[in-house]
Amino acid sequence: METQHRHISSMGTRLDLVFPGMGSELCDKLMSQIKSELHRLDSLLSIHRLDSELSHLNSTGHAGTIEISQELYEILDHVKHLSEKTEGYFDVTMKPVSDYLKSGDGQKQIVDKNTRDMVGMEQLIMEKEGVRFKREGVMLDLGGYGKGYGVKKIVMILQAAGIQCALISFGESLIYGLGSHPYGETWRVSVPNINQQQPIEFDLKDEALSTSGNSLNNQKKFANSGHIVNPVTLQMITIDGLVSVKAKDPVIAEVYSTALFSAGPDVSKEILKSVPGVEFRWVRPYSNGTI
Amino acid sequence: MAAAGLFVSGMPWLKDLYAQDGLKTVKLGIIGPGSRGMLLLEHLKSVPELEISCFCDDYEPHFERAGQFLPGAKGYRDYREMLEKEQMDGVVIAVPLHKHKEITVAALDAGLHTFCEKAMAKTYEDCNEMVKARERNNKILYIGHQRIFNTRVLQAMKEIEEGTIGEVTQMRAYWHRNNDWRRPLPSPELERKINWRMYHEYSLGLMTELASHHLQVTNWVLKDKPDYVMGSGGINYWKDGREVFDNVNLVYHYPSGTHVIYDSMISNKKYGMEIQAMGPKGTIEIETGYQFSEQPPPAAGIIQLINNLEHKVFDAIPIGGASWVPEDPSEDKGTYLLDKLLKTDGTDVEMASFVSDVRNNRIDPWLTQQGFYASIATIMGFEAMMNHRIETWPQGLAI
Repeated sequence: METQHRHISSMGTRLDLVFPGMGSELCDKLMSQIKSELHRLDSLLSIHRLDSELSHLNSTGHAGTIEISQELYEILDHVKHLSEKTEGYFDVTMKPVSDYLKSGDGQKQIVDKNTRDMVGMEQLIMEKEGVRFKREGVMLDLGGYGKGYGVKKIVMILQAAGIQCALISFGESLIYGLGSHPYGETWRVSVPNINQQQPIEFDLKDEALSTSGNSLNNQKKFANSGHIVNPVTLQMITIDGLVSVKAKDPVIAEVYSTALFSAGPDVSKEILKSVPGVEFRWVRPYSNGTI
Repeated sequence: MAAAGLFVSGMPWLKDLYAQDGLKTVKLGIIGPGSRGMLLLEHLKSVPELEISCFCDDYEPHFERAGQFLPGAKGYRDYREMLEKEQMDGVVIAVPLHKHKEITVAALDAGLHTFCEKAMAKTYEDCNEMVKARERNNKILYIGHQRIFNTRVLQAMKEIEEGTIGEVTQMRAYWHRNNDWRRPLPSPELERKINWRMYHEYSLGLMTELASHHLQVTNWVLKDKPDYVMGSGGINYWKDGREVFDNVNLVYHYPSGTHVIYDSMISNKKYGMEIQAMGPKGTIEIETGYQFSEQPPPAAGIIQLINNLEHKVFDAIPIGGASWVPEDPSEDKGTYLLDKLLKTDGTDVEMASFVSDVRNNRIDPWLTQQGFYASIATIMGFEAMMNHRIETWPQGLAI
């Protein structure tokens, strides 16, 4: 079977797409659309581009109400809603905390008052005419949302083109199985486990799987310091663990995996009571660290 | 040429290039059918509905060879006579650099669409006179920078435009050869006529003959022209009486703060030639058509999946995990921009495009601008090296 595989850099990581049974001409055409869409999203949501709409909001949002595009408005509205649904464990205002804890020798454990005052979803005020921040220094980082949103858009492009079968991997942490594997009923994905234990498998059929945590991949880079801030404690999560969340909507999978990793196993069960159709598994047990 | 068709929609100067029905015959003449001129003729030969009705050369062996190649075409030894007597739509000029301005201006003033080989001319003033001649006669003026028509370069430009490597923050270009850059002489008194590239009276050496191509591409990529350049050159190996440098080394500054680092030498060819565009997301090597991501190759799980698909095997894909983050250094070995090797450098498409534009009287000042700005940048580099000073873009020179 002719299979097309493309991988590109996007949103600070790599995006892999596998199209079984597709010719290269169609694949090139789709990739061109996908790249254009991701480029557009970058100019909307990236905080690494000074000219993005989000960067503009971050730099001016404290000065008054900013009129923003309808798309960004709807995203921010959704983000606020998801923050409430996850009891605050999904919070896109954490960047100042993360920056503070990583500054200097990177050994800081507790944030100072000034930084603490900059964070929390209540800092983002949604108004009819636009949005504003409560104070200077507030910074929104949609990294925990953007990849899911990007995959959602990619799936829309593929579906509009009548594609029924594809696997999408965004940075390996977010996988989407469109349709099923040509020789199976689903796309079966296995998340590596520790200590030679059996990997944990998920079957995806028009579904997404998102995994968050401190992994073997990242150990070297984030050794003893973590890279995810717990929005409730305002501390880096240093524990060695992973949580995977399966959902129809890649945005939901992405957001909830981030939130549940911070919330821990017990709180996660409570949070998910109000979210039907979402499956989650702790891939690796928590150990030796703090949530 | 078929591959170039893929890019036609985004490249206005290639539109209608491949249309075949009901073509009006275009009549061209050529001035200077030497080695480069003959190559242009070879490409023109395959362009439909084109007649090369006349040629001109004042060097007997070239005159005779052109006559054999173009049976039926009228030969001239003086271009002025040819321009005066011949009825034609356009002319192709491939003479030594120092004659470009004089002949190009004469051709345009004679009402002819004109193709002139690169670089435009030896001085800022001559380049500007050529542009003014084009403007006052409202004719086509192509300067022979064939990378504008090269499929691989077009693909690289597309990738850069789409942001594949992010904003281009540095460019490096080099052109290395290992030979004396001389042509064999039938007799010693022909040294300056045959090896005109060696002497300042006729050429600016490596700058006008090689660097001009790369500076056209860097201007194109950076969508601007350099505001100043510094550099140094010398003769350190081919000390054979030549006047032009056998090694040149330059840094061009663009208004955005981006630099182009350029060097050329003819005593070592290990690194060949390349134009590198670098950005925060990756690197594109334009000459070889290679693209490097700042990210490494795909995950092992994806490779396993593809392997399984090929063998009709359904199995779990070992891929889920926390977000992959870049580690350094990158181990990316790169991927080709095109899935096949090209045997052409774009000159064939360039000639077909010129004929098509002449046929349709399609005048694209952008093409002249590309040639003009590349030529000015070329001269700036030469002046910086010769005078040991920072050379700035000459005031008032713009299209």
